Amino acid sequence: MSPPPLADAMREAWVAMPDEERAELLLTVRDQYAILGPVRVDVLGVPVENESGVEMADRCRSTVPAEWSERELVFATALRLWRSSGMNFTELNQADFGLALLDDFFRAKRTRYLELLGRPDDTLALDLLAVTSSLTGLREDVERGYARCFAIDGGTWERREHFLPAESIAVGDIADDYALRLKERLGVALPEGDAWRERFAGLVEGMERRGVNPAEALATTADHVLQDERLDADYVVLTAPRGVKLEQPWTLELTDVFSYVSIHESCDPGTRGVRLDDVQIRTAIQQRMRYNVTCRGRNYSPRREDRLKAQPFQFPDIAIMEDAHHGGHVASGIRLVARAPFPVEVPSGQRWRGLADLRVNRVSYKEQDRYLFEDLPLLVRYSLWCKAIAEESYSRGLLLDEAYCGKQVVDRAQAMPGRQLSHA
Amino acid sequence: MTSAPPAPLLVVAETLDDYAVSLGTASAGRALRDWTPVLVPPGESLPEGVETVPLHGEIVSERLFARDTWRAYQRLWYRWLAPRDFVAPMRWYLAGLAGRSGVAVDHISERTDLWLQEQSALSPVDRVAHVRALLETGADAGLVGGSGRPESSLAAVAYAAVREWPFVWLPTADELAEAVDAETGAVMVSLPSGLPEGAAGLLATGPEVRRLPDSTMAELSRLAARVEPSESAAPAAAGATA
Repeated sequence: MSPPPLADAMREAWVAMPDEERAELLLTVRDQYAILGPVRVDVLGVPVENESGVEMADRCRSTVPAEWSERELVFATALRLWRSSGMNFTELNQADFGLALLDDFFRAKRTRYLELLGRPDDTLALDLLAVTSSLTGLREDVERGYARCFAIDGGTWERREHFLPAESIAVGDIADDYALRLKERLGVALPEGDAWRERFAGLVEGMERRGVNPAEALATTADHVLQDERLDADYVVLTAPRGVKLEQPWTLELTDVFSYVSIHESCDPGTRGVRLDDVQIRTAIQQRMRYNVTCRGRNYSPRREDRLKAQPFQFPDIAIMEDAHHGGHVASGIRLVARAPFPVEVPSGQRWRGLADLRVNRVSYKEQDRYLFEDLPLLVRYSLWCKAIAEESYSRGLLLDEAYCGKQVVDRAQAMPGRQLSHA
Repeated sequence: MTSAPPAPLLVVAETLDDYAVSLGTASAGRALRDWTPVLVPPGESLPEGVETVPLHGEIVSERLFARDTWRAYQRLWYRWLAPRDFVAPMRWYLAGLAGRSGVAVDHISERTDLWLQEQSALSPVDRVAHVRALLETGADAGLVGGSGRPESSLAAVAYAAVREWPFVWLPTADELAEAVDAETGAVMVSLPSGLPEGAAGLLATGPEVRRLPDSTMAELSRLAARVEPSESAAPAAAGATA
């Protein structure tokens, strides 16, 4: 029986690739695959997880494509298509890979991008490699008008890509009650004006003049998010670098990271089956978030061994079943979540992902309590205000208060710590 | 004069997923003349006098099919559902056909993917011929064709599987029209609501072309399983012949 057309074409494409280039490509995708979050796929009906996937990639590296089994051809091709498309591999979690399925998946993605861009769909005229190599550019075009985000099932690790219209984020729409809270809490008013970034820059400038640490603006924002009935959160978690080692994020340590957790006064985690008490929950989450930042910073390390220990970057997402495979999440009641990670741009001009985010959690399993994509624009809006505060602090050489960078929990109801400014 | 064959036993599935898995299982076992799944969501019922058995009782008893086969198709359904939240109808039809052709359950994924690759390189008319060859049936059998939103074509897969007619799903109505135009027998087509471009011509071309009605999946599952005498209810557009 002659090989099917797509398998034939893909094997030929692998054979045509120079040995050195093929080995390098397979090593790169193998390393990227090794640091992914949990992967669980089938390849032509046979389960493949992180470890077995790495083993299969290594086997492909050690042999020539003409000798690969059908299953190895499919898996190596999936890694190659992942690399060339720039997609999130875990979008394929739980799927059963075959070349026809991959072909269908990537063509559908291209068609969707073209639909969002309002362009005619010529996908059928392209071969599969041309389809995937076109996706990164198309996605960048889409992201000029939309924010890319995901829905995640923590039970199965499945994720689905979604795009929020950029205008829905309405970042300039700063509510009066938020501005009032900042003024009341910080003693510094958010300046009036149409340019939102300049308003937050002015806020930080005013705080510096008054001697109030900008960490208080971040914590106040987190407290305000907790009171926002539209998000109806039980916990709010805000994390950002303190302001040191910004040129080398792979060297960040736990004490270099601001993290603040606010728990709603109406939420009694103990009555919802959560083992830890409020202080333990806050301590555990804050420390975990700092740890995550140090792991994600390693993505930028010049050393491959460090990069292999990194955590992957995240996009804004809504997630269910967050405690299905995570003991820490079970202990602290992390169940239904919405997350808005934000990149930070530092004075040296670099832009780092994975170091900062704002997230909300509901201590619930109820289907009606799940966050929806419609909830994300508001959360992303708040996260961008936090980003503006943090970046203005960095540009002024201000360090976020170390009281928010250690194991202790800051009780903002009792006192406002860190009025003393410290500089980098 | 020969008497009509006895009606198949109806196996009631309450969810679309269970219905689809049962359809694959029955197709693989060449059992659709003996038992046919039908979708009856909670709160709905079939006409009085229709003999039914609940699906889950049959999974336990293994009276009609082997539990391992049902599990294998269940696994395939959810794996193929994963990346896009629907299973392509052509894929599901061919998976049933693979089982029917004697492919072992742990090779159905591989064989189905291979057939889909072969199909993608063929013209619409040759795709029909390809399926007919796999089904080992002649050109005198009818044809079921689908186009448009693939999510809506599962009923057409059921309609074809129950009758042992070939099924093809084609991306555009024009391609479906090309396939239908070459047919000499009865044709049933599944098209999305609101006739897409090319569909009017499609419905005018075939010798005996009918269209699955716009209806709920549960109602279509009954039509596919011949539960109600509504098979003649299909002409849906000017030019169609019933």
